[in-house]
Amino acid sequence: MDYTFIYQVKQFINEIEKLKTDHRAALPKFLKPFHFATLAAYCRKSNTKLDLNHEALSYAVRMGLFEAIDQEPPVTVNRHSQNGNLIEATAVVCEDTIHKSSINISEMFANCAKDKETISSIEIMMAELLGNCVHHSTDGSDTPFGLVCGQAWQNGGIAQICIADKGIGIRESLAGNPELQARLESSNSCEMACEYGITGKPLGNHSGYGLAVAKGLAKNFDGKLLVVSGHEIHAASKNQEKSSVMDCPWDGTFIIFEWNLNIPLNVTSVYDTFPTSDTLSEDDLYDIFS
Amino acid sequence: MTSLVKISDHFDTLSSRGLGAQARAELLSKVNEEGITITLDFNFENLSPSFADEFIGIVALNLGLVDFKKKIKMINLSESSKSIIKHVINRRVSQNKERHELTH
Repeated sequence: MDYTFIYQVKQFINEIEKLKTDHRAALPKFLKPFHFATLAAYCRKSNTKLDLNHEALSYAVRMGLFEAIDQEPPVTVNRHSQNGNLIEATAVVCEDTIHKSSINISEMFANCAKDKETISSIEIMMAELLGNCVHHSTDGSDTPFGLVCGQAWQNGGIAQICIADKGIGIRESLAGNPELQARLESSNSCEMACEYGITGKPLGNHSGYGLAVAKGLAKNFDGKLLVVSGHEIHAASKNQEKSSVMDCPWDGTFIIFEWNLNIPLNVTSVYDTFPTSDTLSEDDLYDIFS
Repeated sequence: MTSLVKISDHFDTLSSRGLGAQARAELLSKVNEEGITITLDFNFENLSPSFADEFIGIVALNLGLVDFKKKIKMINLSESSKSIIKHVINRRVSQNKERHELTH
């Protein structure tokens, strides 16, 4: 089973764009969490009824997609037969709930994860990404809203988590940091946001850990990260990073994280790649733990 | 005198800057008591980089590394938590030293 390609994301955003004028969109036969998350986030933001005429309808109901955007599911299905492969769609609305959500999400992958370190790595990454989502998913005029869902395909050997919001977007968020404005004029903002130390908060008070952790996990452990915001998209995988521009924009941000179920994730190895200052040596810190 | 603080008794989860800031405020109010050494027991809970930075990183920045090591001990940490704590202390304390050198 293949990871998601940039062109597949672009195609789907084009289809979502058609909803604005044609009120219908052609869905691919095989739907992944990113299709559901973006479609549902769009419908919620535009106050549109999610009318899913697709064989995956019962799957969408089972993952709780309709409830997550406060809509009545069109059919009733048994929601207790998920076998740990499905991450229920979860609305991300405030910081108070993200901690529990990140634990719940990581534990939902317990059946298919190779070890405890993988579960911990997912929990830590999700805590950071959901925190970003809450902070950037609103311009202050309405309440924050993001949507997260995911799935593991044990036979295909991969899993995907998607977090989608219709917020201010990465470019506007990074523009809040005067130190980044010159670089933003010539760079892909999604690519920049994946770098360690890049944050919309000025004066070095934050470090932009979330996407740096996700990108590190994807690159170190044969996974893939796609970051989509406005007209921009960036993909990072083991041997490749690629940025691109989209004809149709996504008004907000969505993040797709995919990983190989047969390769354990280890966030410590990502931390070890973070740059450190020479001002302090290893000797200065060796005795900080009892 | 040593005071044991079980972090998980105070916080359900150790993630987000908001909770890290709360933890920092509680810790700093204890640290200011004369002659007290505090042992933070993390009970092997996962802590996110943002929490670690806002809590431990800024406490180290406020106290300075020498006083931090004198007054604060940390136990029951996973390898990933140790790694991120070292990183945030390094980052915050170094940043402070570099700024200090620039202004003097």
